[in-house]
Amino acid sequence: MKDPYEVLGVSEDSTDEEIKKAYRELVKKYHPDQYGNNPLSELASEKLKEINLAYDTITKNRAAGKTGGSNTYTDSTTQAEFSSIVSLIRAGRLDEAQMALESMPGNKRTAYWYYLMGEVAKRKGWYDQARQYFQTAINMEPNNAAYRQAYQSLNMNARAYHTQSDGRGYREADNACSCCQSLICADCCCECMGGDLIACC
Amino acid sequence: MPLKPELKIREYEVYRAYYCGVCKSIGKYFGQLPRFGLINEAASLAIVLTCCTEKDVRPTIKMQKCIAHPVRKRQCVTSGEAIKYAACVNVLLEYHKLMDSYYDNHNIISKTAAVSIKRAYRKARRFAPILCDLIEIYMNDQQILEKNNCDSIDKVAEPTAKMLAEIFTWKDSEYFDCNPVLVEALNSFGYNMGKWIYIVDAITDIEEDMKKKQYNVLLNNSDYYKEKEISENVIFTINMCLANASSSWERVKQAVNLNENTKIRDLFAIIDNLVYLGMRNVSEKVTGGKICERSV
Repeated sequence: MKDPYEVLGVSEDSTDEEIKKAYRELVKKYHPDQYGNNPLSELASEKLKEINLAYDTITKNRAAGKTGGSNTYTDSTTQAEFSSIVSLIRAGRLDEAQMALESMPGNKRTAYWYYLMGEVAKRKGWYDQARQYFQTAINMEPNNAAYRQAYQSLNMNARAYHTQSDGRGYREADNACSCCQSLICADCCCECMGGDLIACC
Repeated sequence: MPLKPELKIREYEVYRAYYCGVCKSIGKYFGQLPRFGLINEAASLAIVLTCCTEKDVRPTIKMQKCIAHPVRKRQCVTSGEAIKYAACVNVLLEYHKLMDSYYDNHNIISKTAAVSIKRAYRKARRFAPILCDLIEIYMNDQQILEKNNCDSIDKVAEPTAKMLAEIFTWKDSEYFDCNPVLVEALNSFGYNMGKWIYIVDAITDIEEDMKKKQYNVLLNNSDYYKEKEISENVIFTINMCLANASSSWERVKQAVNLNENTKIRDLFAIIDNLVYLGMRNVSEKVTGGKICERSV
């Protein structure tokens, strides 16, 4: 992948506003509509994809920088040849990390390799794949606490959501819901005829 | 959609004002016909983006009449770029949905409806050219994946997830705050929401797709669906989407300055309801309560 700042023609210390402005101008410039059926239009849409990717990457990286990143994972077992990949993952450059991992030959695909693939998948939002990779890593090295922890932390996220939701008074809302809906329905009918069943609605 | 019984009446009124506002904006900017295909989520989109736009472009609520409710005046949001944008998104998605249904089932009614809103689609395209192109790209990717009988949830839900991420980050806007923390949070919120929507829809359609022998990712892989049961693996992904959508939403709230405007509290409360109650309710309904069991 090209340097995203180069693609947008800005420098690394440009402000967020400048970057957005540069992005918008480039998008206008390469908009496929301007090319009609001209063979250039395909090239333009390729360029457009590249511009979008660059913009997304910059925003993601900058957001990670401002919030201090979310490095929750431990890497006490980092192996030398993986260290560059680990730093790619840390920097949020997931596509590059994935490519680097995928290019490794079969005999280097250790439990740690699966664990890193799982981390990449998790960060990309490919949860089903993340689950599979973590499980493979655990199966290969059942005693490794870091892999187990990575897998459990996924479940913990889900539990946090449910706790929040319970805290906001979630309950099986089936009955309440249908009752209200029928009331609202009745209210709408009445209103169509000029009356009103529920004064506030 | 938020879970209505759990909204305060005040919040419910605001929600409905946005709903009416989006519907009216479709009529005002893009044409009357697409109003029939109003999508519920468009109101929620308008609310989220209103929270994130700068103060001076935030909309005002007025009492107005409309075709659907001709007798009594109702609260209705009458201005605001976010409302117009939500209306535009509604038109774009509506058009693609109809075209999809035409390609899948050769349904002439869908085709006719799609043609009838073509003009509106062109107008919407002019209003949000970046988004429109991206939606076209993702819709195309989606069709290819489905045609090739994709058997991975992650892969097949990706275009929808990315599309929602694009919709929420509103790249066409000049008004939009370009604070990268906010943009990233909205991106992640949209992504997880999109993925969740795709999977929930797939579960809902499962019986019909089985009968008609149509494509459904869950039917393509016994890891997802076995002996008429949705597997733990799918539940796992749904739970992850819920968890990450909610944490992204919390980040959105943090990035938006709360002190600036107190009206925004109602808007936050509506989306809180949507994220923590509405999405959970739908998830539990489609999975038959399995989400709940796992949480204990």
